[in-house]
Amino acid sequence: MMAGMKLDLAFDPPWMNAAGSLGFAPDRHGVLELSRLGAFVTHPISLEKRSPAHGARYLAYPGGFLLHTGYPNPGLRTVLRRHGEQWGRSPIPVIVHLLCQRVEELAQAVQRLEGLPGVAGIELGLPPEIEAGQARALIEAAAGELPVIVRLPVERAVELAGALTKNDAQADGLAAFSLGPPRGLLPAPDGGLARGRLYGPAVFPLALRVVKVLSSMGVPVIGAGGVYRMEQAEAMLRAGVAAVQLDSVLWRGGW
Amino acid sequence: MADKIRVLIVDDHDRVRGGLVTALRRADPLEVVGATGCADEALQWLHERSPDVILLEVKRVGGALPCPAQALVHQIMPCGALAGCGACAVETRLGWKLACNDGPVFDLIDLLPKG
Repeated sequence: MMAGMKLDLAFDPPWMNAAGSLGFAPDRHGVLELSRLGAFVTHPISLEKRSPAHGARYLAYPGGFLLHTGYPNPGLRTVLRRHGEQWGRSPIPVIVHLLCQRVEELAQAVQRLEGLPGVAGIELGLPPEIEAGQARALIEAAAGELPVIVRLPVERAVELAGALTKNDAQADGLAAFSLGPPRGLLPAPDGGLARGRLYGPAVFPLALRVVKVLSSMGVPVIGAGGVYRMEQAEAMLRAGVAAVQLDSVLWRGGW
Repeated sequence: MADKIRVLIVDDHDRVRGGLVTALRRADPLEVVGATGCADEALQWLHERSPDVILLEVKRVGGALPCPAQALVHQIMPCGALAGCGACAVETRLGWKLACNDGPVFDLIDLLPKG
């Protein structure tokens, strides 16, 4: 428990999966022993269903890979029907990652999650192009019974975090910041350019620099980005984060 | 075009194979990248032509297609088929599905657009 803050999550151990890395619900029989994580973060979920992205989905490059999926999901109602019971039985806290760009949608989604067994918090994914005012409105719409972790686009994390905590006027409901993967472009097989999220070891130095800056802003930070080794995760802890999210390293096993 | 679903047809019955090629060429989102009755050739084309879908078995019993068929959806799975990343998501008539979790074999009719 992090005393003195509105975040009621206990991260012990201080590692959790990043949204979009282990599906919608913790799997007791999965490849990863759940006791290795302090919390489980769901795949991003929107109020209504989202279709998969078209075009190239995966492109490798030296240092990592680009992933473009469109975060397909069947919508919150269906996810709750399929996975709600699993969340309730989870041996570790479940943080539900919400993808909502409209205040009304987000408020509806949060209402459905409040009081659900197993759900310990919300992670709000902010799109890369969002303005600070929109971000603040979304955070305030999500504020309620559950702590709200705000996942910032890493490229704009310092700017947005500064705006959301400016002059002690911290956005209501904001419990912690986390970091989303950076976006990039790569030449696609069809001759065009493929855009998507970047993963892999090359992301780590960028992420570490950002978490170091965020950690001085007075709001708890959950670090993420390019962590492939325990010493990298420990370096993030030393930089001041409360916990570290793991993404593609979990797909290789061995964490 | 990047959005085309690339289909490889593998069946040793000439007429079935020909019927599938004719039907699928009319289905707008599909592109038939090869049709063969030879397993060795199919394996070679699998690597050379990178199909998204391989039709492996066909039964001639009627229906909206020349015949009902199943398709093996060949999608990259960066998460190692953990149903974690969503990269292998496939649009179907029953909503989107994950090839790693819900497939990888689907009824072909479910992969085609309605109408």
